[in-house]
Amino acid sequence: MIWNALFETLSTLTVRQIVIGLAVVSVLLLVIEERRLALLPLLGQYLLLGSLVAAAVFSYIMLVRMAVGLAICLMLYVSAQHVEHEMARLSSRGLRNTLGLSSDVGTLFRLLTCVIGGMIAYGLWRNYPIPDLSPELGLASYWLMTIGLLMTLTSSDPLRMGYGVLTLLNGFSCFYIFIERSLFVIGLLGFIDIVAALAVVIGTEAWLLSGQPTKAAP
Amino acid sequence: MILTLIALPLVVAVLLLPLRRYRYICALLSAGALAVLVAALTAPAETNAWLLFGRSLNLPAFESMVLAACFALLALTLLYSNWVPQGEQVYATTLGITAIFVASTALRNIALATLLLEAGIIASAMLVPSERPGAALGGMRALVLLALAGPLLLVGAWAIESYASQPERVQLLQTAVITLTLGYGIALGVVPFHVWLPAIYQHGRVLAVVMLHIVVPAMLLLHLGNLAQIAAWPGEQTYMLGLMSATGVVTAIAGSIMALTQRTVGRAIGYAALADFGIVLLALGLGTPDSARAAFLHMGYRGVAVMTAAMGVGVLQRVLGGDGVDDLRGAFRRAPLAMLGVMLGGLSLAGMPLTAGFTTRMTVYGLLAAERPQLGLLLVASSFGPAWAVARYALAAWVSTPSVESRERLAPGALIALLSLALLAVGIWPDLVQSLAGPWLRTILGSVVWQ
Repeated sequence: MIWNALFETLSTLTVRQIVIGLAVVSVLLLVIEERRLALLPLLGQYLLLGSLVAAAVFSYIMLVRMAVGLAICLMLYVSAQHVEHEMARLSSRGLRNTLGLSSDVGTLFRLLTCVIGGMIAYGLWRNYPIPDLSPELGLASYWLMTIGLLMTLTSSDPLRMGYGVLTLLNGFSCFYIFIERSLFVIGLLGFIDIVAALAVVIGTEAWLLSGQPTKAAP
Repeated sequence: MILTLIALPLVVAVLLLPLRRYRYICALLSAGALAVLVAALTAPAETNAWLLFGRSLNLPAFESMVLAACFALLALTLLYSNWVPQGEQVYATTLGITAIFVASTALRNIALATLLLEAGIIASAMLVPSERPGAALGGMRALVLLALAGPLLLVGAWAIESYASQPERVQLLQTAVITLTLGYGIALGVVPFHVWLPAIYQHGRVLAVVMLHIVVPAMLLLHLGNLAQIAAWPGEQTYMLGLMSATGVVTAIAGSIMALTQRTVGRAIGYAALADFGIVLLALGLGTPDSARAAFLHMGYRGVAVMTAAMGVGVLQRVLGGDGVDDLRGAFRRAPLAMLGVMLGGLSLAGMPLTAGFTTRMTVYGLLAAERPQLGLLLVASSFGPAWAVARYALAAWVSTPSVESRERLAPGALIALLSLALLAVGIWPDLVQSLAGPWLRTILGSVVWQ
């Protein structure tokens, strides 16, 4: 019943509503520091992108895209749990810095990052509009890609960098499904998302196992 | 035939998943599977296109040869992992990536081929993280940049395809040129987009080095060759060749200078390999049939040299606990064959005489000198940078007394020695490869179209 209601709700969203939703969830993803909680906005991104596919191409492909998003978030949740447990363990022993994490940058810094991201995305959108695409989709795409890139640049752990990578790829999917409308293309985009998520999980687990990630070369 | 080439590694990869804890079985099975692929790719076969769900699949002889060369190097690296562990998941991952690359190369639909190429490149980044400090973050940096390169390539491929059908829309051409230049630049790791590469050489596994700096560039160049055939525009040839030459020269010189200043063997070899890749790009940019053949032959020699040196570094790190200047004390006594691999691989990458790298570099230098003698001289001079770096490490390893008791194992050392001897043999007898391969290789190289 809940699924049916969710499906119905997402199917009725207009492109503009989806774009606004994507902007909001990406800000939340950047601002929320707790890694497990930050997966909710990421899941929101996948749900909204799924409904975008429905609006653009085929309605029932939405379910496949959402299932891919859910699988990715579940994979990442396991790693996020490992990271949070390890950080809690190290913090209780006063050894948090052995994970090589920079000190908490704070919500204000993250919000400022969002503002900068917004300005960059707007500048890119004005100067380099994506051909054959509606303006709102072009802006949403640039916005997601910019926020994703900024997340990778401002994060010091592989998991949050990974969230940035996945947001970047979502930003790209946001417009690519409109210019290459094919089931194969949508399927391969989902496959790339899964491969990228696997790479993030492997990187995160290796980072935790290494124990001394601070020795990373500049 | 093509479907078998895609299915075989996938089937073996699935079989290896439950066996992943048995390193010897996994290494031998995966190396064996790749050896079968190499045999199939080099065997004479029909070149008719296959249709799968309406999509054309075809592997011309030259592309088959490039794939075979890449898989042969991967098979040797997997064999090496039998003695120097590279991690449990790498066997299945490597086979999966090879299947993706075969599919990407064989697909004639450029959008799908580019999507598969992106998937393969991103999957290659999975090979980097390990329990070694710095490897995970190095792998993530590579992943970020490679994930950025993928969309750029896809947009470029779409724009160039769209321009081919609507040549009046010049904006599409501008989009294609900008995105493809950035996308290929980042994925190939040329200067100034090389930031992710040195960490791979310093912290990553040998398999990651071979995959990301030998196989992936080869796949990208094949993709670029296919993309260039889709659409032509006024000034295309001048732009592409000029860009390649300029990038090649900058990469060769900058890589050589940076190799001089490194304090670990891995990073020095990484920059030497980067500089050597600049020579490949320069040779392609010269735009003559001779330079194109030299470029692809140089890619092969470079692949062997990178693999040999990276294997040597891997053994040194294992035996000495690191590959910094201070760790190298007495390395010639504790790991002589690994040091031999580092030296000969490094010198071949620097293009020093009596090594394989020198033979093809001479052709490139000769062709460049005919057009721009000063630039040729500058490139020859810059090649002494990596050579000096290798000599410095060799000296550090030679004169000091060992600081550790452990020694290198014979089997990986023997493999490294064999590869080193191969580099030396080609350097002494430049026609060796063509004599052994005979008319087959001449026919294949003769079919190189890169103008």
